[in-house]
Amino acid sequence: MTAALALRGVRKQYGRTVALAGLDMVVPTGVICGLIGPNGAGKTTTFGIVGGMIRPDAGEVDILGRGPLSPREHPGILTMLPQDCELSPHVTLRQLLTHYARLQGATKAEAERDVDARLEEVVLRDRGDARIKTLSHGMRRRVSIAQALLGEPELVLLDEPTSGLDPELVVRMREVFASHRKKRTLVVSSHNLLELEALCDHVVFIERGRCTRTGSMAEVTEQGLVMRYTLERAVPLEPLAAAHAELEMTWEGLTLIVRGSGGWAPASLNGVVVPYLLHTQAGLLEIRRGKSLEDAYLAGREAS
Amino acid sequence: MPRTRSIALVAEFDLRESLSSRKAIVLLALYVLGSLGGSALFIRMLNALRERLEEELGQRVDLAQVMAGPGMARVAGALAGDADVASALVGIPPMALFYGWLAMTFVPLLVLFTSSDAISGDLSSGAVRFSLFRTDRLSWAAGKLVGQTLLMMVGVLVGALACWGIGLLWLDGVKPADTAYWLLRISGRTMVYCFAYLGMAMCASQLARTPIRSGGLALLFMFGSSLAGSLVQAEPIAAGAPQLFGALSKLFPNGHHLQLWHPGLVESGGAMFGLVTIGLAFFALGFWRLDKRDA
Repeated sequence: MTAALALRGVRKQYGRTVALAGLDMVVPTGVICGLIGPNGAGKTTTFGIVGGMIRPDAGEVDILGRGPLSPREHPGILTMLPQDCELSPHVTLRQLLTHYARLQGATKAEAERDVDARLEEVVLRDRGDARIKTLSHGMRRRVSIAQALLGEPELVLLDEPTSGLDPELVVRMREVFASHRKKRTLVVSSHNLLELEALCDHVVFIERGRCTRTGSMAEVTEQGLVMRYTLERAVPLEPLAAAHAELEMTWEGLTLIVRGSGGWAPASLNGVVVPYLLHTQAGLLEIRRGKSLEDAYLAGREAS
Repeated sequence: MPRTRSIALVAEFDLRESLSSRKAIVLLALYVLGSLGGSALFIRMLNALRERLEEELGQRVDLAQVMAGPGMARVAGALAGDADVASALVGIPPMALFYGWLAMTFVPLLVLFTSSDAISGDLSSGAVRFSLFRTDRLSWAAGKLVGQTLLMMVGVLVGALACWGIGLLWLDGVKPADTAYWLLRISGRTMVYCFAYLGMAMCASQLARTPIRSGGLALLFMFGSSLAGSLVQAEPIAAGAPQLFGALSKLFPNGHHLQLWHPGLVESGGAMFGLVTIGLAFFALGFWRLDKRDA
């Protein structure tokens, strides 16, 4: 299957600062992909290059097998929510969004229908005729999100989409993004790893302008291999180890981490471990599949 | 999508956005007030002149006849340095002629203020990043140029309307239809003349990243080209190599100023072509940079 986005050896330097140092990354089609990295890792530069705003010094960008972005040849295949950009303040939401939709190739009637639907999604339908300058920061952010979802884009890049939104709207926007799963490919850059873990099914870690790790969320967080059991007290593990030599068990404080190899599925691991923990009165408090994205990210950083 | 459609969409939105902003409203008000104020002063001057002539001659004087008379043609010829241009000038109603002078003097400056941030403003605010994945840079920049051209046309026409209105109210003997016709013709020439300066403003807007810098750069272009154009046309310099300096003067907007008033289609058409070319050349120079830079 053609990748939704592939970058090969992409380099970008601002003066002496290297933003991207030969970035290679692939985002499969139809996934919601989290782009994760510390400040200055090159995430925004990556989005800028893919969106055609920033000219790379070297390397190749391939969007949906059609080469770099060419809005004239393929209008509307890519949309994006750029970071920290101001919307035109003097026009109304409806005028602005209709203009953007028409630039993507929609007719006036199509654009107006699409704008109504997007305003509904971001809970701004009743403010459609308000000028942008009269909106709060959070509302402007939602307008920015709405413009990124206009039309039928095949690839959507979202840079810190929920920053500045209140918790209720963060949940609402996450639901909106999730509703686009399978219909289009979303690449989301965020520092909120809990949010990304809840939303994404693929992740790319970037560090100092290079991709340090990439894979499905299940692979990266080892959801198919590892179970974590948080207990009230530590218990001896020798009997369990003797009965199941293929289980690898380690302690992390009062959390027992069990790794199964050779065909152990999470459910079968639970079938063996949970009865033992109940029997030994370990005080089972929490069961978690794999590790958190945050742990995976921090472990990756320590390793590198 | 055809490029013309993208350009039209960007231009339409740019004009709408400009007209919605307070700055554009203030500048349109300046077009009107400048035209009204200038016209009022001109009418006072004409009326004073007529009264003086009537006093001297002891009879009623029709200024239109004086303007069309051989004496005025000689004066105009001496000022213009071209008999054909002079005869064309004296045939133009005084209000229209005055508006042409006023607009060609001041509209380039207003154009610099309204348009020099058309692109740099979007670059500095980041608003450009909502557009450039939807349309290519050339369509976007060209759309901005068309939008700002339309804004300038609106300003010139509104100013002409104000001039026409005040002429009808305060100046005796104004023929409404004839003056309106000439104001429209002169507005067209003014637009072409100012397009050269609009090209400079749009060039600066693409070269600089902030409105303040692009405004400064546009002013530099305007005064630099006016100065250079005046120097190559100055008698002592041009006399040294008339053909060379004559050709060089065509690189600057004021080198086409006189020919723009020429009654001959070849001469005035050539001047218009030259002015539009200057505007487009400046725009293209700016775009050459914009196309390479990070947005």
